[in-house]
Amino acid sequence: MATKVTGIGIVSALGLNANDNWQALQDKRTGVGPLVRLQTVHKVPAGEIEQTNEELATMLGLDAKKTYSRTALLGMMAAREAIKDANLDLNGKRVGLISGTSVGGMDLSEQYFTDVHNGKRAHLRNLFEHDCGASTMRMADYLGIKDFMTTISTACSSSANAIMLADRMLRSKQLDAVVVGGTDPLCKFTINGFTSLMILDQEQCRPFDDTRNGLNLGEGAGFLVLERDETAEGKPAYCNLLGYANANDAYHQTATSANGEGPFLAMKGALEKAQLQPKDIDYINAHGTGTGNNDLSEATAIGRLFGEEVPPFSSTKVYTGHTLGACGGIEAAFCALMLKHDTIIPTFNFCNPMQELGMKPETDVRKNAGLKTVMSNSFGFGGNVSSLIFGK
Amino acid sequence: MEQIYISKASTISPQNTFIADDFFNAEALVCESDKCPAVDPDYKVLITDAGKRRRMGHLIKMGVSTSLACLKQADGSLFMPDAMMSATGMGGLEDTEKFLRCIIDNDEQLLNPSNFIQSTGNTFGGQTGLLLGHHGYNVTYAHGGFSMESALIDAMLQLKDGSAKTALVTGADEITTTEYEAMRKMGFWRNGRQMGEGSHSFLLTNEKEGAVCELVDVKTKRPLNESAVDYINSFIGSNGIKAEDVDLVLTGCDCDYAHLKELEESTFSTFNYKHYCGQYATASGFGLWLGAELIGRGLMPAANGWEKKQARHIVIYNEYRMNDYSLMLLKHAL
Repeated sequence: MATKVTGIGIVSALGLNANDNWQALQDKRTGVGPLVRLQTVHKVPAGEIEQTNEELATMLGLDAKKTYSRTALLGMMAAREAIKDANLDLNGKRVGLISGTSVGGMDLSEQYFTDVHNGKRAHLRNLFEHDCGASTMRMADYLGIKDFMTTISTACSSSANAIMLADRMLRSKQLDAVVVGGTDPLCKFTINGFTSLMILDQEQCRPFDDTRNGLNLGEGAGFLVLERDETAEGKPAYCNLLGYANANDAYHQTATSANGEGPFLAMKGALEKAQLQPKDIDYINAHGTGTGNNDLSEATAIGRLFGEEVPPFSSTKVYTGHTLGACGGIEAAFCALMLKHDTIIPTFNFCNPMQELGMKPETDVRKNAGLKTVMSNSFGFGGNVSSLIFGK
Repeated sequence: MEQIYISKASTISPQNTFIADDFFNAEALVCESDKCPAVDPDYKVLITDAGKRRRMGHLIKMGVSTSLACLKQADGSLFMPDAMMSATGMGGLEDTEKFLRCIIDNDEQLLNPSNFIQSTGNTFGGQTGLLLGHHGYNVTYAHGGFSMESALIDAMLQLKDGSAKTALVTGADEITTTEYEAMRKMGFWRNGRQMGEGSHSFLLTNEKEGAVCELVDVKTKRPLNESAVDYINSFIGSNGIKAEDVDLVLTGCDCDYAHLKELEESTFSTFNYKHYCGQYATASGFGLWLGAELIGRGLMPAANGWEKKQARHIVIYNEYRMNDYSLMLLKHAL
């Protein structure tokens, strides 16, 4: 059997639907800029979505006075689009929701603790959306999904790992369709967390460039609808999920090893699962955060696996910022669009190759790229690294 | 289809369970207070690196300790599982809160990254992987009362499709004052409800040799729109088991007393484990540990402790905050 991607939904700083996102990517237009909505003392650029929670709730037809975490709202919007795109009938099939998130309802927890600090009345309802699963439950209720739901929290590889479980649930026939991806909001917690680790660039991030100096954070959600080929009969599909692997770098809680052992094992494992050779990969959507450590480690691992014939690669985090638990879902949807339109979306802000390796990412939009098989990488804290392969 | 066995289990809980013999040689006493802290083992012996140990919060210490205990072999070396699945409803809540308060109290200045690093949901899974030098599959589930179940479902899928031959599954949650107080203000700890904490690790394999018991199936349901008895009957029925072949239902009821009453009045023999471990997202791990040990030791609950009697099948029924309802089915491996 094959697992088909029959629908996608994307919400990011580039726009609130897949079309707007795709248009911006083709125009090489970034969503990363000065923070406007989020109040913080840190003057860092980020991929911020301009709408407030109330505005998002209204767009979703929800009562804007009720309490929804930004995580849940972004996820609802992307998942709703994916379901509509796939023309998925929730009644006739066993449908699951598997979501990845790193901070859950942190925006509301911040409100709660800020109110406590300022001696204001702090609403307990702001605390009860805190755990990661709460955002998924709100989404499931909104979407009407009952048959299965769960949440993965492995930092920045959360939604890539969610896609792996979705495939296993489909192949074992426990489910007929899975709405799968991830969602994460911008919040003070992560801006301060990454500031404390000193890996936020004060300028726009420059993945794989020698002068790169950290990442830009972003927010958003990316969801796919995955279906088994026999239950998705006759439906148009973007691509198939061909393979995947998760490996543990087991080097450091927040850094990747110099030789990229974990990323190497994840990419190699994904190829084995897909029964493909390195030469079969036409493009790599790299994790490419723009930190000194990540990009060198990832490029080293790519070099180890692909040798002299490194396929075109790029990081789309220059457009969206690093959306943490959502990036695996958003970038999987980007890969589906690249395959559908046979177009490679490049990175930008690249001038000088890394001294250590000299590898150059794609810097121009390449149409008619001959894309048949693409790889998408997502690496997270705790050494959790994941690689997915999609193909026509 | 390949059978899946629990070859080893380890638990830290509000009971004296880390050395399981001690627990089963005594009468289990229910927790008296509405806050049931875990009985901590001597972490110095278990996590010998003092520097690492000092940086670990309580959740991570518990999670790492039961994981290592499950992997420790007779000769003292550590077994390397193919895959590791972790589960936590709340993650490193203590560290999350410390970091949040630090941000707010210091106006986003003078931040210490260590609380941020420890706050992510996958810290004890990642830390265990790091301590073992484990390069295999490593994922953490964080979905309320389905966290433990999701980790088990993933492990069972991988053992069945051949992606892994062995999997370590660990679920852990910790008591924090903020969560306890918030729930208290909601009136949640009335009616005998209690907050607990703990960590529960299971080594799953395809090998029957030396197994504690067989893990037949795990199911989650939200919402539960049928009676608890009907839920159990359709679950065991889908596994080809009749009600009379189930010797015990471990009822993890904590909120919904209608379900507890219904189960106690049914034809099933029942034992409610929630007053022994308290309520937390991964408390079903305590139920799973208790069920597995009872089958493995050939014991059943009795009036003043445990009696020698071999159960064939045990069902673990768990509720979490009137929201998440799960079932697990164990079978003896004789």
